Amino acid sequence: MSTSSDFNITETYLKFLEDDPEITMPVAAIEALVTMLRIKQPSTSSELMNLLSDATGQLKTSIPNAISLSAGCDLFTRFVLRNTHMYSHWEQCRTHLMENGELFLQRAKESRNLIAKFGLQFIKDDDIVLVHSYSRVVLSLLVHAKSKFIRFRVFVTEARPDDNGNNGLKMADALKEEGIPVCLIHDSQVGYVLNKVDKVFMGAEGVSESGGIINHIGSYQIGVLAKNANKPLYVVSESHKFVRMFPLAQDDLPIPEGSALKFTTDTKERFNDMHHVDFTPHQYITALISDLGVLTSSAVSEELIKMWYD
Amino acid sequence: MSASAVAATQKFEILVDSFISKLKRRQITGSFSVATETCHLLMRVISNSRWTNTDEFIQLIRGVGQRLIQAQPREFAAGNIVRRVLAIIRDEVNDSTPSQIALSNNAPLNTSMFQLLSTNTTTKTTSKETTKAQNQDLRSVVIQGIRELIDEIASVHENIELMTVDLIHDNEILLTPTPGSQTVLNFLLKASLKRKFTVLITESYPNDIEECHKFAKTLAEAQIETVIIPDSTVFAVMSRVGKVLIGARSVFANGGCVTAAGVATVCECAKEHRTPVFAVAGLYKFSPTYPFDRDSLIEVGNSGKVLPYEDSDLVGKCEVTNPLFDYVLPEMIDIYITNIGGFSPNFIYRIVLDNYKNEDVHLD
Amino acid sequence: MSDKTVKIDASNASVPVKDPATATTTANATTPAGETKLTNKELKELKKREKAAKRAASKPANSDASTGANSSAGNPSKTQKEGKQVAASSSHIKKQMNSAKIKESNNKVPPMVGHLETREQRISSSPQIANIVHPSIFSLTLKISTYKIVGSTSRCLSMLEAFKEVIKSYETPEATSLQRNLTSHLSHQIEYLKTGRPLSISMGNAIRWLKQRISVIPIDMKDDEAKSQLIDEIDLFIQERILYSDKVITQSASKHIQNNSKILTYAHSEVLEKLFKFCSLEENKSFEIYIIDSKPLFEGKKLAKRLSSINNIQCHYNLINSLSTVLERSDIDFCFLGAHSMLSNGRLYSRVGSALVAMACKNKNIPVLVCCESIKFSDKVQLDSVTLNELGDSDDIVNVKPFNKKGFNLEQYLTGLKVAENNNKPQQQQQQQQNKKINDNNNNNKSLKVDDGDNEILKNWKTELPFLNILNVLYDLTPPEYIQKVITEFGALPPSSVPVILREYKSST
Repeated sequence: MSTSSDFNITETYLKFLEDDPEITMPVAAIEALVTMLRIKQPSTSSELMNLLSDATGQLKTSIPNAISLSAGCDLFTRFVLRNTHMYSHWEQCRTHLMENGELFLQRAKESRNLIAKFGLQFIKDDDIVLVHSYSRVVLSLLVHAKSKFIRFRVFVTEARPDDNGNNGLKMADALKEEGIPVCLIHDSQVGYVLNKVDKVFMGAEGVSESGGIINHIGSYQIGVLAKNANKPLYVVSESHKFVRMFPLAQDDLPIPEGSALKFTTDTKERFNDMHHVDFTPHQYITALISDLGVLTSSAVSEELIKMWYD
Repeated sequence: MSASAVAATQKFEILVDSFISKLKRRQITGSFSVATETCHLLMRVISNSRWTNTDEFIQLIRGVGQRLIQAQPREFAAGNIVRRVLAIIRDEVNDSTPSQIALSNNAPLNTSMFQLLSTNTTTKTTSKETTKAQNQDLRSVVIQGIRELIDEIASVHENIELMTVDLIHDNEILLTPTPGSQTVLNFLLKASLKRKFTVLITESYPNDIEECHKFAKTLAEAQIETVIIPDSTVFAVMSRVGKVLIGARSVFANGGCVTAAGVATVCECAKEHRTPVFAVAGLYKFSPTYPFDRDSLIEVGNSGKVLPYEDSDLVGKCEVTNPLFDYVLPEMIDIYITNIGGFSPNFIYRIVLDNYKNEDVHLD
Repeated sequence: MSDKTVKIDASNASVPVKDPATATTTANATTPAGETKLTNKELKELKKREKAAKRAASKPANSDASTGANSSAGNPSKTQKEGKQVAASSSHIKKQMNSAKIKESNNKVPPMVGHLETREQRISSSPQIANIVHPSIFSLTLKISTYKIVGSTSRCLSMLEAFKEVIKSYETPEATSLQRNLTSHLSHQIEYLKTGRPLSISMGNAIRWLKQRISVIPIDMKDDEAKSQLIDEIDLFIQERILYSDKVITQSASKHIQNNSKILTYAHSEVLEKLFKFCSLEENKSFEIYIIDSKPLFEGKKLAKRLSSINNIQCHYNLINSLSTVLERSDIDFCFLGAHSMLSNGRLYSRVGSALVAMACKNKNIPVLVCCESIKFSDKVQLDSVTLNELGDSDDIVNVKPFNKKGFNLEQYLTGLKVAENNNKPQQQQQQQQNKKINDNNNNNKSLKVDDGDNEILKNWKTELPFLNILNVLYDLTPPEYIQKVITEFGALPPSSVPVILREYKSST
């Protein structure tokens, strides 16, 4: 293949994530792929397709926890495929893709605002909201609600374990800076505080075909608790996180390398904390707030079906 | 403005105003009659109104819709019909100017997920001035569309009734907590031709008690085994009930519905007993809105019915409310039977999308 | 000697088929499965007693005249006030018995509950014992059957009060002893009482207790002495098992009601009324109370009337239809329910609708608390509300307006009057059948129907609509999973521990 040495898709992807903290993984993946196209300048559609499949393959294997990112890659690949079929000149399409990297970023951010607008109606005065882990889109929703002078309070879970700093703390600080009263709790405290909570919001790394979500570890147990207590659980997610996966249980999620749960008698071994995502089946989710509107679980599969079958 | 134009505007105002006051005075109630009346009103409005381009036309209808909704915010049928008519207009406008949407029409299954990457920007081009002849055409086409809509509403029962045989088995015990619903009554009467079954009817005291008695009488006269039960007895008999049949007043995009007071508890009870609940509703009852604010959906009625004035020693000392409606959560309902088939509540969003345009969801 | 004569009498008599049956049911009803938990010795004793009771019961049924004369001879002198009523009632009873048979033909009950006894059946199956029934029992039966006295506790209380009267005026007939004859005498009273409404669990428990007390009276005790001892014991029982129990329950439940609490309750319960009064008047707490009520008895109104005059209590009154709205809009803290009975498998047997309220509260995470005196505990086990229940009168449901129930006799009398009047005017009757809406007749009907509501649609449903039935059951069963806590005078416990209390209670008496 003509993949010359100087371009590394993984690095590009990571750089995008690093440069802009506001960017989500799928969008970063799309941006990385666009950059690659710009550098590689494929001349035929088959070359383009090969390039794309190589790059996405490389990305998916090199990054642990590739669910969210693969949603972006898939979306991009499908779009290209669809449009090379549809546009008589794929040139036109290619140019569009290459030139509009910024536009995609812009739109991704806009979709977050759109979600905030849709989600606003879910938050009312005097609500107590439970939020799990850090999520940009949940944050933007809550900040938007605050800016509309809705008075509410938030429980934020600490969301342990995680690899890049403390997500819960980050979320709590971000909310506090906006003037939203926050109570930071340990993950094990969720059941204890749940009777005070009016509704639960969480983001998602990926939304599966069944409408269930893949999200930071601990989401599943919060979902189960919320269901048991009859508290609504709203998932807030951009539509580019819809991913073509249909996990049935936790075991169906990709396991990061070398992190199979293991039992040991070694007293020095502590936590087996390599797993950072879990799967929450759709029956625990009340509704999905996305940039396409407030969706039910079957709407997610409809969107995915429309994207994949033509 | 010419004299005739003034006259037309006046006539238009009179039409709308008189309809609004009828709505407000509750001279027109019940989704069925509201829907039909709204159709007739819109037909008259359209034939009496003047406009120069389609945008103006759409704005005009939207304005009417907005006023109707404000007049009676809980009578969703009016808003739904206005939205349906708007969809007819928009479809017509788009068909007559095909160039504008050629691109999006190319993809039969266009997912909105591609919005992120799509080429064409979503901003709408303003419609061009249209000629008088075109306007006349549009007018007649839309009026024809409304006529079809009226036919559809009128034949709702027949279409729903087609499904009776598939849903009821012999010797089944059905329970219906909405004796006020004409659709349910027709459904049961039709079903009785093919199946033998027993119907339990809750009283719906105090608001629908007379309807309940009429309902029971009609069924009993049609030789259907009918049992009236007080509202409180629902839990006691639920273990014997095969299916619960409810009539919806209005169905929302999330699959929830608004119906007579007390039904939410009945459905909850059915869920506890794993008894299937099916709701019957004509398409005109489907609303593209989302029931965010439960309180705003529920109308409160005469509390004198709850605590009659004979109990004067209590009046004034006790706070009494008499909600007329209940909001039933989507997960409480198993299927909706409509005139276009049966759907799971999960899928209602799709039906709604098919019949209304997204831009008309909020008329204000 | 006297003992022997009774036996001979019983065994020799050619007993009518009906009577032993009723006697057995009495014995069964008053001493149900309870004996299984007793020791063998107790068991034998109990069986002996039961046999005696059976024999005793079958005896006077044959020889009505003698016993009846005995007791009714004693009655009028002692209860002058009710004397009139005796005469009136006993003459009515005959009418009742006759008319009941006529009525049975158009007695309509949904097939699902065909096994339950209707009011008409109850009345027609009652033994012809009118002449030995004590006037206080007459009046009590009437009050109970017209729902003037309603609610398990008050029914039990007034029954015990009536029994005191019965015992006061009781005189042991010749050739028998108080221990034997009083039990059977009471059994007749109870038999009649059951024609009003079936006995409540608490009444059954109280009766069982009373019979046991009678049976342990020493054989050589004088009648007067024995009677006053029994009356004292009944008083003590009322004090201990009902009034004191209520006080204990009230105190223990009151800690759940705080200032500004929002409490939801259904219909009316004696102990809950005491609880709310205690919290507001004695503990000076101010709180809101949401009363959910339902047709046809509207017992909640009674509670509302009694509570709304208290300043500390903010009263809300709603019908069961608006339950979901009430729960949604108001932030209810606790749901308190009264009980008719707690069954051995942890289910709550209470006013129909309680289960619906408990379910809705449970689903909203509102704790459901049941206040129940241990006298209401039953060792029955039941799984659904259809099998075991009490049928009310279906006409109570038909009336659109809140009803004012009349006694069976009055009703019979009125219909009799109407028939007579219609017979007098045969033409008009025909007209009425042709067209019910002729004003003339309407007026006639209205003048006859006292407070009968104004339901025109289903006025003649019994005759005109063979396919229509109306179901009016009085109770339902609430599954234990909806109930968080049962508060009794022995303390608070989960519903699953009801059998524990039952054992405890058995051993304590």
